[in-house]
Amino acid sequence: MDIRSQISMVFHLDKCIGCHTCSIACKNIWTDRKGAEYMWWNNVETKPGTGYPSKWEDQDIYKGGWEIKGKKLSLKGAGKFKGLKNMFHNPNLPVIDDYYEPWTYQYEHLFEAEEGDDQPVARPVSLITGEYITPKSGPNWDDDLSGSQEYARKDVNFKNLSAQEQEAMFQLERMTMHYLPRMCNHCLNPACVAACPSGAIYKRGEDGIVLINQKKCRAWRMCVTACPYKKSYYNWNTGKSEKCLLCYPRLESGQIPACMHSCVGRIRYLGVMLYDADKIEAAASCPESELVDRQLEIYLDPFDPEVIKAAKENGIADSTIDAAQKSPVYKFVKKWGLALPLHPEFRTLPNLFYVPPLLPTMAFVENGTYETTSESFWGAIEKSRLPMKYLANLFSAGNEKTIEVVLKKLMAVRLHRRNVTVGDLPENEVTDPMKEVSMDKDTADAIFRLTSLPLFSERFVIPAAHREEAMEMLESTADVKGNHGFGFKEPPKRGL
Amino acid sequence: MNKNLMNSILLIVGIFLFTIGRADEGEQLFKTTCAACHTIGKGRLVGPDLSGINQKRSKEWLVPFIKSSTTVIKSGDTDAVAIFKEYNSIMMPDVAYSEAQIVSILNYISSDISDGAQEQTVITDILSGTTLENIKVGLLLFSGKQPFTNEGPACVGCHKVKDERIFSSGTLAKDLTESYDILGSAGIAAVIKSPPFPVMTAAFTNHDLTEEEVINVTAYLKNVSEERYYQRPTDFSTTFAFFGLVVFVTIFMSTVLLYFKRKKFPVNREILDRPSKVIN
Repeated sequence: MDIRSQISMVFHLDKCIGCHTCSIACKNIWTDRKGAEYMWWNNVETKPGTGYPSKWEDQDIYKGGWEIKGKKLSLKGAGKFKGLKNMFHNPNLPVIDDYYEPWTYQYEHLFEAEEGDDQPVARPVSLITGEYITPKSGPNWDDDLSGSQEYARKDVNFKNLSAQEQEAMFQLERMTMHYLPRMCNHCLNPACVAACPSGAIYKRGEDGIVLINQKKCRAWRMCVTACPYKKSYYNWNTGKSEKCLLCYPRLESGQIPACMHSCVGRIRYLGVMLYDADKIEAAASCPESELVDRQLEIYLDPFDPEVIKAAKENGIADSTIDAAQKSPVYKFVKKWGLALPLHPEFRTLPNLFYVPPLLPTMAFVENGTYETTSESFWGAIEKSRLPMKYLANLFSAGNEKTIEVVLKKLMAVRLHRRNVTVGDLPENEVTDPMKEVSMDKDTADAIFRLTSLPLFSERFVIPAAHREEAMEMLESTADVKGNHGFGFKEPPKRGL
Repeated sequence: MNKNLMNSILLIVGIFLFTIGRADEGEQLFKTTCAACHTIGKGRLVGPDLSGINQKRSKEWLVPFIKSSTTVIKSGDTDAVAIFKEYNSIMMPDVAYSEAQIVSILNYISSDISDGAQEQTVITDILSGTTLENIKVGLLLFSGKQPFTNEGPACVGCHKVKDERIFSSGTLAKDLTESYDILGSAGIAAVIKSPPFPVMTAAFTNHDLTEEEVINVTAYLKNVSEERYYQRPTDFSTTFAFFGLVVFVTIFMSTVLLYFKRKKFPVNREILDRPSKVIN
């Protein structure tokens, strides 16, 4: 057992209102620079939709992530031989228009325009060429199903849905959507790290944050191809690749990442998970249907005395183990089994988990009338507005069973709370769904509390970074004891 | 009075020394530059024997001819053209000497007549007593496989010879295949020892060949001259050009193939390419 700690996240999609505040918070802190204008380390997509960069999920185009070759796990677009072959022309990179051409507006014109018959306008100006452009795409161009014929129709996750099912989704009364905020998953089996020819990308030992060493990066851009989530970006100004750093300077000083701090819907949770690094390879190379279960097996129970003992032997601080025990992520992912990784079929073992959206059918049109009555209070899970297959393609590598269980649990919590606060439902309509997913009332209440009424300290449990210890690893602090302090910048004047 | 005497003596000594100095300068210049091809009273070498040249030609004709024979020949001077033709149309290299220096050389030539007559030395072929071993070493030296003792550049860097044993050679300077026929062993040795050609002079300044090396290289050049009718060296120039073309086409084609494989267009190309309804 090789126990390590990993900072992981849970995004509760039912709570996301699609306001993009997270993206703006991130942009203002990290990517508001020359060469980084087009980057959105954090972005919010509408599903169904093609996302940003367009069709990033289609690995036939972008060749990201891992695949099983024979029995061995290998990178789809990079690796030793393939990497060498493609090194100098890098055939599968997204082009700038797959992201979008960043622009700003010529605001000065509003003030400096000469007096005329027309109201002056601020024309859009490209941030790459500096010329006037007509924006034709943007990071959230297909937000809220806009242009759904062009974008939502081309969603890669429709791949296993029958034409009939797909058609049903685009009927006006049945049309539905949900938001999908995305950022770097700080994967356990990161393809970007494996693909980097310069060895510039690394996964931090103490908390598992994946970072790019800007001094070692040689702009091969293999990480851009390799990351199946397209969350590594090339900065054309500095000639280096950049990615989400999980605001590690904030984490180390006990603050939470900017995107999570600013989240209006409070959908984001952050905490430590203890995991067994020895199991990574086996979990990443198992058959697709088992991927989710095998990944969840890697994460360990932080209350298990054996796990605690092994963790301490591996140098994990008591404060980290304590944080792992309080981790909201552990509760959502392992204890309650409500959160699932995004696209586990890419086999990177992402550490960002999503509670899938519950989109029950509230009404349907029958004989020309808008019918809101149904057998049960909420329509059956199987009749959700989003086909189960679609959610399964997103969160469980096509395994509908996994999604169904999660949605049933979510529904059971709702029915239970309805019963507690209103009490208008027949007894069996509440107890049967709870029994079906074997959930007791206390668990349902706990899920309800952490979902709806969590305190800031419950949503984010950050382990102490122990920077004082990190300092001692780099230099002996006793060496300077008794020395002359910081010295003088200007020599002190002596005498009178 | 005393002072005047001293001044006179000094002046006389000065003039004497100056004259001697001038004579010395002429001798030195002749030996470093002219002796490679010319003798004074020892018969013709590459160029004519120069004894009595001052009586035969006027100074006005000699000085410009020595300075730049090519200019004089090109100007159509009949005497100059005749001499040029007589001596196998070998150009005499231009020298960067002042008129005074050339005159000093001419003075040396006229003063040397008697010397040449007195000594009557027999010129012995420097190649007498050379063996196949000398030719072998000469080949190694010529081709640069064995470096010169004083680190001079290898001959093959600039010169070409018709020899199967030499793979490729420079084209900057003359083809030396027939050098022995034109210059003879003494001529070759003289040219190597004190090259009259500006580029060669610069190349071998402070990198003189040893006496033995001169003999070896000369022996090799003689061998080349003798063997030249039996040599069929492969001409690689067309082969090289052909292979160059093959490599170029291969690289070009693979670039083209890789380019076609590359993702060049955005996935939403057909949307982005639609004509804009906004007038810019």
